Amino acid sequence: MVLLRWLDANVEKIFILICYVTMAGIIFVEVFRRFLFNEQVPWSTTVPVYLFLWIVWLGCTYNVKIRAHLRFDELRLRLPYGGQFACLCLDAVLWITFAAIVITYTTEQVWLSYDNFAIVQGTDDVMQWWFYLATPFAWSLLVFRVLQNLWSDYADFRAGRPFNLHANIFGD
Amino acid sequence: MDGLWITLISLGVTGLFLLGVPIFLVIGFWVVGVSLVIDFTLANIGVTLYEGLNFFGLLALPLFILTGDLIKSAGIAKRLSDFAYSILGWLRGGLAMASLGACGLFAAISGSNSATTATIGSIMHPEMVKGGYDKNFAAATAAAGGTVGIIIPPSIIFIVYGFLMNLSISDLFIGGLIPGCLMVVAMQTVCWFICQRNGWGHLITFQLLRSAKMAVGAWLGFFAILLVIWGIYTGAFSPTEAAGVTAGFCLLVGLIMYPFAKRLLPASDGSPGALPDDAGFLQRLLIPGFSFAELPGVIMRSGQITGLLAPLIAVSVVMQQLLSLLGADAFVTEALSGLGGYYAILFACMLIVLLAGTVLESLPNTIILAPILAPIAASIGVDPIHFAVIFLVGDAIGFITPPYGLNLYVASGITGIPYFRLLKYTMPYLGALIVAWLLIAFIPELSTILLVNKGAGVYQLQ
Repeated sequence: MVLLRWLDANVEKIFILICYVTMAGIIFVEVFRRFLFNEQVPWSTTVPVYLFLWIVWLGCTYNVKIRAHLRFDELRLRLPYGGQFACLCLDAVLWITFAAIVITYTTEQVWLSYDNFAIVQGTDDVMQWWFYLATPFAWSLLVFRVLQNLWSDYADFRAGRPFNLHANIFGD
Repeated sequence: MDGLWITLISLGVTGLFLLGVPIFLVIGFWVVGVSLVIDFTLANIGVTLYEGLNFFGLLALPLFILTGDLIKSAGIAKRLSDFAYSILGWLRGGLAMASLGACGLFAAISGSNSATTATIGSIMHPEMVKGGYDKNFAAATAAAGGTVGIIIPPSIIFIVYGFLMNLSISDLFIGGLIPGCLMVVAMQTVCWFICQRNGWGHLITFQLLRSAKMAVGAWLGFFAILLVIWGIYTGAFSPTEAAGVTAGFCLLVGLIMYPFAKRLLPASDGSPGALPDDAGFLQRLLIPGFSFAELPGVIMRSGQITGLLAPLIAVSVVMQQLLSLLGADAFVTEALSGLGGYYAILFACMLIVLLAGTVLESLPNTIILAPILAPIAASIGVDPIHFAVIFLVGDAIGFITPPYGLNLYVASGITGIPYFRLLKYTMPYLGALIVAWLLIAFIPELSTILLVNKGAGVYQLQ
């Protein structure tokens, strides 16, 4: 239970931190190697791009979790309480529907890459599907976050508490 | 029949936008709806969510975001603001003008409008209120000042524009340098007039030695600015590499200096980087930096902003593909070509960018409109780099135009001033920016002179 709670709080953070540091580290080190030793590994321009995929889609999930996605919320803030709750439900339905489309078609891409033993350009044995997996994985997690938020909104609605409606653009 | 359905879908998603549905979903559902209507496979969405982001140059985006966050956490934003005040404090409204100057300096490191507003606004707004400025005007200054974030290089939006239009990102960065400075000067001029009329701000004497001391305190900021501009201008680095090197350098300096700064710098009064007037040379050289323990928080903030912007890029690329399939570019070209000559078409393009910027976020605005408008501009002989700058200045102005002005949201969030009240106080700055925009459009040299000097006049089509 403790582990689950910790994962719930940190799962996106772990992936984002590892991928961000690795991506920036590869670029930083390779620029220096090129300057000082005139050499550069061939995968230094491909692996960081694939790591970027993990950062982007888990970042997207994290923004759903902290309700930070960009939106125009002036009208929603002025709606009656029930209307605000209906809007929050609408958000959840839309996220889940879009996630279903994304997961379906990106999973196809992952299988295709897996079946073809596609490797990352410039490497001998790094599989592309490890990175392509980012999108269906992150969107599945996103659905979970949407449901968590919806549950919390429902609890607020039942208790008559105000909703968390402001876009939280700069983090939690 | 398809046309009717597409109109209904467009109206439907506009309704979703007004109801506060995230912009990513608004664009996403337009894409899904139109794909279904024209019987275009939804698998394209899946593919483009990978391929739309599969470009090495785009990595400059997360890396410049990280650089901005590292500089901010290291306490340099405060030092840059103090430096700007030491230069402009002798003028009426000097603190507000210094805020705009600090926005320009921070923009030269970060590359994001909203981050510039948030960082400089959170430092300078309380100072301005303390200094006797109207709190609404002070917040509007932060919101407007942030608009240069994406024009003064490095710039996230220039990276995306270059990626889309196959233009050199380095040349775009160089093209934005003078127009970005012009925007700052235009806003400072208006700011001076307003402050002069209202008698806001206390005058301080200009002292060269004091400014030099402040400049020493902000050395890391200046070093980062010079590293990026030198690296890109000389071609030593690609923008992505420049971003990686700057981020790595700021990270190392921040971590190394932290233990020394903790021992040798006086305790901060809440704004990291603040120095007493009698601080010695060594103390000024030291920056507060950050500990290892703080680092995950800094990187996560960058990860969050990346996760906010990059998905919008991916989904907007799909929207652009569909618009192209629907023949939107041919339609717009035909409509605009009937308008007449060079300036009529150029102003029509500018008007479209400005109007779209009132409702669209800058990234979707660029991704959707640039591939449609840039070829039209090129066909009438506008230099592609010049048009890119015109387009993106219009995009930047969209950050303070209602109903959707992201900088107004950010400034409202950090100052607690209601969105619509802020809007009113931003209007004079909007006027100044539009004048600067017209100058940038009328005088191509503002965007191209540095390029020509660099020997990159290959873009000249005329």
